[in-house]
Amino acid sequence: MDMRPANYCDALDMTREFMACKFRIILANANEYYARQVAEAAFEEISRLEKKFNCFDPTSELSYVNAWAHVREVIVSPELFEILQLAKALFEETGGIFDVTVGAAVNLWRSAEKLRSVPDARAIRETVARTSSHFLELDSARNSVRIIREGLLINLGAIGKGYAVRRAAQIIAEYGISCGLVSSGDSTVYALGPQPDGRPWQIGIRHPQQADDRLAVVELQERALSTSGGPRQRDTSVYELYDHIIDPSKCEPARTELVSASALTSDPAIADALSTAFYLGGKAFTSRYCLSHEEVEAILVEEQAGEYKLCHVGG
Amino acid sequence: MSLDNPKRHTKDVTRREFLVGSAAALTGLASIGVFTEATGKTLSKEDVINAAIIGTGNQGCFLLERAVKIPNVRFVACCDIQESNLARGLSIAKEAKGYKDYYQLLERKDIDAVLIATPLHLHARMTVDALRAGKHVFCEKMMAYSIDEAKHMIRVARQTGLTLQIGHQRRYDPDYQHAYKLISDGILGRITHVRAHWNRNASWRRPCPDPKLDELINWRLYRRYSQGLMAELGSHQIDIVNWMLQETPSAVVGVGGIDYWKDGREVYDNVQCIFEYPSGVKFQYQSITSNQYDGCYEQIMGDKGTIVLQIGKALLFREPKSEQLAWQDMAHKEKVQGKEAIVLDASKTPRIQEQRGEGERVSPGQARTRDAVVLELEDFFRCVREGAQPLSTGKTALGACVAAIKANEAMDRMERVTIPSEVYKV
Repeated sequence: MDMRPANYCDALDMTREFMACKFRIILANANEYYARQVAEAAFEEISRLEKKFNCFDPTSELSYVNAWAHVREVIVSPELFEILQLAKALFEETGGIFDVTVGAAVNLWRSAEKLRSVPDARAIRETVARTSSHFLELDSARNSVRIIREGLLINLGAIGKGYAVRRAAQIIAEYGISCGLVSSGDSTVYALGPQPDGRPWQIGIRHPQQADDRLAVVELQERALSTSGGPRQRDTSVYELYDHIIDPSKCEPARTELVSASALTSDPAIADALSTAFYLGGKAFTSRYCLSHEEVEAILVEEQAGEYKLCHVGG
Repeated sequence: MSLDNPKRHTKDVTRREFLVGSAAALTGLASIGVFTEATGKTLSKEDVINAAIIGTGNQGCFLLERAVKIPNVRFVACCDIQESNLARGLSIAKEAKGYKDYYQLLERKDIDAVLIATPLHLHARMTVDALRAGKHVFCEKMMAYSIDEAKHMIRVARQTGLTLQIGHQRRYDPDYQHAYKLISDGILGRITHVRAHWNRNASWRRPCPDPKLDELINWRLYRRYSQGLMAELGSHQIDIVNWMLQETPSAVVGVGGIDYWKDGREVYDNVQCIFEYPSGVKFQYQSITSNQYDGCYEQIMGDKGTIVLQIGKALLFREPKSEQLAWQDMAHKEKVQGKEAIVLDASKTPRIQEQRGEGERVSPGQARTRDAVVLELEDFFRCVREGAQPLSTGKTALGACVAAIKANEAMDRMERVTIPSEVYKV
């Protein structure tokens, strides 16, 4: 994803690091001092969410849930409840392709990778048996969570950044700024309103090999674009051996026909989750999903005989 | 909208102090131990504690989200004068009733304990009113706007026999506790100097579309409500230094100014102070808002080593002449700016949760929470049940409160301010 809009105008442009990626906020507002405060408030919210959602931080709210929710009901914050509820709904809607209970599988492959090996088949089978959002019980009357399968771990890596973009955009809009872009690294971008000149924001989808080239340009206005896969997202220090996206049904790294998958929809959290689901589910699943969800579009990148081929689905 | 004039509160408090004194004299210490005056019941481990929170802004909700997770604690009431804050509080404590007037909340006889997370100038008034209504109180830091108010809170807690805990959560952080143990055992030798920073690069001003709401939302920036950076950030770190040294400052010099964010604020946007301790230790403190390079940490320096403490990490650096530690070879180490640091492992220190044997289990491989705020709140409700003293009491928090206020005085007057030991006596 390329965040330099073609017709980029003078605007406040701030970047901060959260959730192991660079969040960027661009705001076009007459009062720059006010815009800066609003951007600070949005970054503060992202930082607050990072501390809730990070399953690798033992002090996070999610770690508390992972540690206790199989012992007793845990009441969680409205934000954690909302993202879990959304994740479970997307689990149902994607037939289990998107699943945040993939935490134990992610840990299993991370540990194996550090030893430059693969987990043994029995460990993978055991992990599959305890990986499913069916084992996640959510009670909206109390905002409470129960995990009914011991050993199940939640990992919000495939939806948390999109959710943070959503909350940041909400805060910016609440403070009356209607023109800007919010993005989480190369993962998800959301456009508030059109650009100051009235034209939609233009976001490029990067060429998988040549960072400066664009495969396509997408026009965004009150809409989110999220991308999964592609070499730029691979953290080579940890994931040099495997694809970093774990397929929850097999608890193994993704084996997909796609180079990358992008999802377009109005909600950045949903876009983030769907890009993972499209990447894992491939072309046939993505076509089916977009057919039954009018609002959603996808851009899939395939490699055929050394050439990159774009496929636009839905819309 | 503006907040109430604190001067009026001070008068109120003084009047109430008299009333409290006479009530306590008449009733004696009726609520010693775990007897709760409001409900007339003795709480056992299994009984549900009915809790409430006054102030559900950012910090209040931060506490509430953690407090609702504690078993056998039920939040039945939330209070805030701002509609949006109250709605946020009620979205976390879904079974609670909302109040705009905290007196109405305190009138409820079924409430055992209250968390207070309001602007600084309201802490004393609300704490005293809650204690007098028979509620155990957890009050956010800094303890109070003035030294007299802080002492008054301690006296009323003593008279009513109820728990008063102040929210200096670093005392509950397993890494800090581990460091405290090592320092008590003499690992740093003779401590001579301390340095602490909390540096940020942000305005500290929350966006406020309606100027009428500015003082309500940005109360931290105005002297009528706030003691500025020394209170909101510094008091946490002064509390830690007082704890590690087991003493309180005897004098302070400092320089502060409004030099970068000239936006109508009344509190300093940068502060630099040096505290002197009776043992001769000098503690240099800095908080600035225009550069975040140094971040937030406390560095305790002795003739045998240095401990650098920050949330999530504690490092020990040995001085060249110090003797080899028995466990030094086995310890996990890392290089920091070319120097070898021993990473202090908090798991070697028994956790507060485990000490009290909660009776709950954690499956192998699952991390137990180390969030200091969860731990401090758990300890508060344990103290409410058992009538025990928390790690962060009114008395310990008074030390940080006095030091922060005296530092502001030193910066305002541009003089060295001495702090006689009587100032800490209650």
